[in-house]
Amino acid sequence: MIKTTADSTTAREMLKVIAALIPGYIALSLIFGPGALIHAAIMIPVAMLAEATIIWMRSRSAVPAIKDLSAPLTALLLAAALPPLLPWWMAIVGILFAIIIAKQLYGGLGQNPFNPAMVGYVILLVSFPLEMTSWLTPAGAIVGGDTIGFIQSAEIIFGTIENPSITIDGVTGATPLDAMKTALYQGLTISEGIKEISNGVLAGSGWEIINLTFLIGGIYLIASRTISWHIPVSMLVALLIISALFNTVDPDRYSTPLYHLLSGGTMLGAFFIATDPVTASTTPRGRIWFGACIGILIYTIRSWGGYPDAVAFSVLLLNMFTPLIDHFTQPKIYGERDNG
Amino acid sequence: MTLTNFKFHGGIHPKQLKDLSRDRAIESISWRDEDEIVITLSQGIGSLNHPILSIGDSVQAKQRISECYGEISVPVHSPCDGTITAIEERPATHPSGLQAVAIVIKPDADSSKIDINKANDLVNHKIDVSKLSELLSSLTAEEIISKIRIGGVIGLGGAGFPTCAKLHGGIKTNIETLIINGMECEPRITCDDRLMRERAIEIIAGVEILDHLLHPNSIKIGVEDNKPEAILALEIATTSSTSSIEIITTPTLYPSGGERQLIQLLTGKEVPSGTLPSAIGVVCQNVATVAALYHALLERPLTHRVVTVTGDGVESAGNYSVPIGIPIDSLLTQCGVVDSVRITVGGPMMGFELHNSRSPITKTVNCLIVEKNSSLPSAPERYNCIRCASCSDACPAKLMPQQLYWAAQSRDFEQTEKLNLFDCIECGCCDFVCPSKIPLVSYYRYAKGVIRGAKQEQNRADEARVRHEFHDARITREKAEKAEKLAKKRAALKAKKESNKSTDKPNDADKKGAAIRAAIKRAEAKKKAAAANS
Ligand code: SF4
Ligand code: SF4
Repeated sequence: MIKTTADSTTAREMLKVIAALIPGYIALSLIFGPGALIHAAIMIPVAMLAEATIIWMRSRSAVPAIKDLSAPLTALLLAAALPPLLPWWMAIVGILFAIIIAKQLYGGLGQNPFNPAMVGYVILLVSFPLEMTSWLTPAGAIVGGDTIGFIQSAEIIFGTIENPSITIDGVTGATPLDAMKTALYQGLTISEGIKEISNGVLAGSGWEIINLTFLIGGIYLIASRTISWHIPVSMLVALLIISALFNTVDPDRYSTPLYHLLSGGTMLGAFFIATDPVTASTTPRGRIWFGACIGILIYTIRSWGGYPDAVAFSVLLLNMFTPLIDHFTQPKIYGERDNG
Repeated sequence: MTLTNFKFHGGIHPKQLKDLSRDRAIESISWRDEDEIVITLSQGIGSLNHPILSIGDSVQAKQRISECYGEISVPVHSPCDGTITAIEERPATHPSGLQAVAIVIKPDADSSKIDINKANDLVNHKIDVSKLSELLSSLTAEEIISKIRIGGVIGLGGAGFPTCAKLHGGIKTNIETLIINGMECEPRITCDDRLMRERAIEIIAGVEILDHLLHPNSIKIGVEDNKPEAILALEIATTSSTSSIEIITTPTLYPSGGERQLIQLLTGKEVPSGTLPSAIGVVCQNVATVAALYHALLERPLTHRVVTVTGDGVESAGNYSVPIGIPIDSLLTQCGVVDSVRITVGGPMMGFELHNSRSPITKTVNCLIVEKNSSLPSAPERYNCIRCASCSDACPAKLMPQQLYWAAQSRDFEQTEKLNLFDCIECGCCDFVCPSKIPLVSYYRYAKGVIRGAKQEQNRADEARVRHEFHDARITREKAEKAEKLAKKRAALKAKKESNKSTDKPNDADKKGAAIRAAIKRAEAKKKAAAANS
């Protein structure tokens, strides 16, 4: 859904998306330390190298594929979704899966049915469930009055020294979504759960800030006509409606709409993940269905499923239905007659 | 001047690049002494033309040199006095670069080089309104259309659809709106703009003819808002017109001049897929066509047209009234062409690259873009389709260009037809916006070609039969004519002999004459049947 003019190129559109990630990255770094940046710094070269190698093995010129900037973008999206202190080699496993299995084995950019970054994420989630759900708590990220710094983050991510100045166990905790789920299992109500988890106002623990910054980037993408509004708006509206519905019926068991909109990967997913043109629906009506279904699925998995966050699964599930959605949402062409 | 309230889906804003030629008044460029005139027999759509003269015959300016059969076909005329030197295959001005049969005429040294229509330029002398309406009321609708047809008028905006065929459809139905297309939405082209500025009166006279013929409820001339001078000229010309004509300005947005897009812009209605505009009570004609049909009615057939020559490869860019049939290299040499250029016929969006500059100007050539090879951008790097849907957002036909592309690429032609391939107007908007720089339209052209080829195979038999019958009819007629001549000669001879002998014996010439007349009648009937079939 990238809207372009004559001088637009794939690379330029990718660059705009990368630029739109900047506010989110700043927020991530301020709240959780530079973990995401370190991951990105590891994954971007690996992604490009992996891409070039595979294309070289298919004996094609790797130059265009490297220049289109899609591999670095995948790395940046995945890095933004990973827990900030995930060991370096897990990050590499994730990005290799994303680039090689999810993208290049299907024929490279444009041919992959599944969102590569989300494939990488899900592979890591099912392979290393403990590490993947161990987020720094924003409080835990404060070391001696400052947010965890570069050295400490790097020490943990690379595991280079025997006794790092801080340990994962000491500072990590579940994400608010995770904690809320646990709280609900323990029979607490939502309001009690909020107290339990939150230093933040609405969705807990600085997450609302991160979501808001991704929202800002997303608004830029729509304003600059890099993405169309259909998917993010329909996804967020669907999530809003369904969460409002259940919240009204039973506020003790179901969180508020604002909580759902501003926690976890909601905004990153809405504006940056679900809108990946390659794997999303391409008809205007199809995009609305696509986004709305993702919104509903996210809510369903968050509320009743086994995993705390659901953006990755929801997007991948809908990717499977993209061809079907496209098929049933063919727009009416110019001059098409009503009966045909 | 009114603004339109309607829009069409998508569209793009390419750079206009009209400045090079838009302020250059129409000038005449004609053949040089060494040139020959090459008149391609099949011009525009649907012509199955047949030369009526032979090599060595001399022709006069305006003389019809071909005949055609079938409703969707018009003849061609000579722009000069001269001699037919060949009837043979010549490089065609066509994207395929193939050869096409042409009548080649060597102009006489003293043949007038002036565009007849330009010589009769009526801008300065007001058209005699009463004379025009007198002429119109003395003719039936069929006679008017037949004059337009015999005058060789086809759509001059690009596609070359015979005007008579559109009008035939028009008089059979109730026409609500007559639309005159003065949009000229393609970048670079300015010939219609100049025509509207300089010859608005001729255009309006043509509109009056159509008004008389079709009795539309309303007449709308659409002009993009980047041509204020043209709008003004038309407005001045309409003030004295007997028809009530509305001039409607639309925002500059390519392809607003596409017939179906323009109809949507001015009426808010969509032409149903697979039908002609007359199905919704609309007839649409380009401004240059309208001027040409006015001239055709006054026995001035289409032998010249205005062509925009532009680009950095010529010294004097401008708008030129040129004889149809002049070789393109002659025209360009006279405009001061530089070495090693790429020539595009038509606009930058829908035009095609010319393979052989010896090809002639045809009725549908509205623009020649001459670019130095050195200033051409290198072909952009091409990527895979990333399904971004820019193309479907821009497509004025509301198609799904990306899906068409996937289907065409995997040679699933059945699927391309299901995706309404034939509703694609080849406007190139999808190409223009595609960030992966995929030459989408060439895939569609290719797919259309394959599908048409398969269908043609089916139709070929039918077509051959029609052609055969036509051929037969002609042979029979020629035989009959020969026989008649012979019989006359014989009769004359006999009469002479008899008068010499002074005898009074009845001869059998009468009998023969009757037989010949019957043969002619049969031939004519056959010919009519053939025409009806085609
Ligand atoms: S504009 Fe190009 S890349 Fe985008 S969907 Fe269309 S064909 Fe694919
Ligand atoms: S060329 Fe065809 S498919 Fe492409 S934008 Fe124009 S009408 Fe649509």
